[in-house]
Amino acid sequence: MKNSEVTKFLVSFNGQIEHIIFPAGVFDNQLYIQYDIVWGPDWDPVSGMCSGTSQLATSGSDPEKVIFNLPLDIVFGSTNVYGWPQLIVTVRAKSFFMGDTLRGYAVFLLPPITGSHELKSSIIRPRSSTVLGEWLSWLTGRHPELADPKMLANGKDNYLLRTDSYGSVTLKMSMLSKDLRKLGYDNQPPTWKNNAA
Amino acid sequence: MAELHILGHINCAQHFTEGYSLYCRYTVQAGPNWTLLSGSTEGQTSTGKPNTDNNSVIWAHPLDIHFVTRGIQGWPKLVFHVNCLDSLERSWVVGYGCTSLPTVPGYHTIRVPCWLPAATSISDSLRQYFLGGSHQITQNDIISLGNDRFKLRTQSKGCIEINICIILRNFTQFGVEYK
Repeated sequence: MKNSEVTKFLVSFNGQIEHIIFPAGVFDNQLYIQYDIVWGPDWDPVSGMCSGTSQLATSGSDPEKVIFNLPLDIVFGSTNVYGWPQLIVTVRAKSFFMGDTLRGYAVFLLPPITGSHELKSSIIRPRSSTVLGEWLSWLTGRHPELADPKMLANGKDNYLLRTDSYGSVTLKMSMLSKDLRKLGYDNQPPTWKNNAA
Repeated sequence: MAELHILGHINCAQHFTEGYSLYCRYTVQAGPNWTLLSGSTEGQTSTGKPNTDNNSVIWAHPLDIHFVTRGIQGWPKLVFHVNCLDSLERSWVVGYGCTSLPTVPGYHTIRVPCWLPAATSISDSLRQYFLGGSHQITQNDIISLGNDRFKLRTQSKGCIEINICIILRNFTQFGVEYK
């Protein structure tokens, strides 16, 4: 194939959602996560699962940390960098008293740079906008949830939200690209920056 | 023409001592040679409540902006207005900040220090201390420009942390040297 015929690049993401940290410890019986990948108009998934649910996990010897090690293997094809895929992690808890409740959401930008990356993102949780709603969520232990968590990746309607933050999610991800540089894109940091860091 | 992609998040605000919920309005300003292809150059984050442990506000607001340019003058800048929302649903400005975007591809974590016009009289500072509220500037271009600042009295505030990734396209082809 000649250089001029290349119009599409492929990006592969391999990695895993490693663990969740709640600084005050996890009191619920079991936690689980759901993930969704959101991408822009010119993007197409080539292979892999773009949404999924993890196992029900509990903490071990460290009461703050819940390990999932949920693998992600996705390949995307696109003609435009705009709309780079983002990963939205929904953290939920299942307990005997409360049933199934929301713990929060974490948003990641999948790494646009080749290589291996460890990413950490804070968990945000929507709050009620009224005092009565806050009392009710305190009383029942159930918090407001987003009808569509994918709105967090869009950023247009975020201003309507009131949030609270607690804990973090850690993701380890390797990125590999094909034909990205052939199309004239440069996403690699220069060598002097790596040496300085 | 050379293209610039800005991907990332406006991550959080730190060391703002108000203790109220904070939100941030941002704009991207670029010179006349720059044309926006997709994405939006302004927006507003969600209203986040400060963390109990380190008093930081998480926004995690996504940024995805695509510019095309005919020159290197007027490299894009991000301008922030941080506002607070108190328990009585009143809102006022608690900080202004500006950063120029990096010209090098790759990941960047930028901490933008913020400032605010200070109270000019004792009665103003007493009112702000007990009742809240602040002075805000009428000419927003002061935030991103260095002139006309001499008579402004300001007060230091916290900082905003943004995590962005810059992707450049065809810059070397047009003779721009960034490495």
